[in-house]
Amino acid sequence: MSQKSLISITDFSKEEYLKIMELSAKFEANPNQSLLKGKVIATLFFEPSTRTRLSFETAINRLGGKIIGFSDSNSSSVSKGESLHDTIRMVSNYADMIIMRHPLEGSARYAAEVSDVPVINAGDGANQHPSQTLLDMYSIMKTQNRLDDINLFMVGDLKYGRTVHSLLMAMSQFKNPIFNFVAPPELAMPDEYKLFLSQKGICYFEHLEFNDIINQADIIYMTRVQKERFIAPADLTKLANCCPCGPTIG
Amino acid sequence: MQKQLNVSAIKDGTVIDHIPTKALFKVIQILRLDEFQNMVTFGNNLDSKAMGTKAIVKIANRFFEDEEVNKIALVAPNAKLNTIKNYEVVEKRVVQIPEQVIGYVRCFNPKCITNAENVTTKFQIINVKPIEMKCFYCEKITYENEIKIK
Repeated sequence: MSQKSLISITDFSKEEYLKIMELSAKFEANPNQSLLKGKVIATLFFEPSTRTRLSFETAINRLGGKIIGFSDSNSSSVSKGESLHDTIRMVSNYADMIIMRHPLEGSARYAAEVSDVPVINAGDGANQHPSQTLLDMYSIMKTQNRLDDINLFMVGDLKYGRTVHSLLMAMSQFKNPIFNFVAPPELAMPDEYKLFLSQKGICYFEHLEFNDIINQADIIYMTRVQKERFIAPADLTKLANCCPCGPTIG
Repeated sequence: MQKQLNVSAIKDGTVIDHIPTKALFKVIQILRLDEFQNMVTFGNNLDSKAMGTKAIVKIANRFFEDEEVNKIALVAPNAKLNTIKNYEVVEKRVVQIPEQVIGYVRCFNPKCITNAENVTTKFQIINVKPIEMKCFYCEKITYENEIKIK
């Protein structure tokens, strides 16, 4: 790969996606390798996570690396007011790589800028979650045996769900994708992503329900309501019963 | 009838003309003219054939590079610069929207890292009319009507 850090799915070309898919299949066939032997990897989770953190930590263990870090910002110096800049500068002196989740958008790009070691973005607010997108693409590739000509239904919280934004950007690089967005108006796909598709001449459709059209889908991508992104709890309560995946689903 | 200037002439320096009236103080802010020690005069709500009303700024003994003055194109895209030497206009320039906007515009996204930490903002201009610029950090687009000067 030409770049050190993994920050945004938009940093990759189609060829690089395909190369990663090919490598992923090899790792899946033979997961226990010693590629990280002697390396220290920092997992800095400023925001709660179960699947992403355990996936990364499992991968590091399987590849022979050692893990340092925290899974809750309350147990780090952030709770004492330390800036992200200072945390990253300090950790980059200890670790060979940083894997970071942070609630603020753009935090991963900034961390990569101030860090001396590569940074992997494990989610920065509602912005990007590139490793999840690579996994989603790998799942599509595995089940459909292709990434071209996919009719992809995205359902649920399309406004705050970072994985849908990342997946949309990635899949738009392949031939003839069709996007169907199923969401209540309050959680609709933001205009900037619809504009992005229009400018690339890619078809998309918006729906409030998907019962009558579900059989057209190659892939149905369900997301939960991102309750941690809501500023006003009243807005969340209002949406609790109108989204196929309610706010309590994990 | 004798013609009278609303804002007095300068011997040497720069005149920035055709500034939208609402953008006058933003132009002063972007160019940091409030910190400038030499004479700065400005007029607002002046009659303009092209714009209806306009603002004008005259800065004595100060000359601007293109890169420096193009910063004001975000708020005054039709501004014109006249370089004055010995009371004569020796050069006329039109401001141009830069490809990158670094350090003087706030990202509209309250959840962007640049609004939480001391980070220099960076934007890529992705559309000129109307202005749309993408934040280098949070990747959100700030539209023309959302531009706020830091």
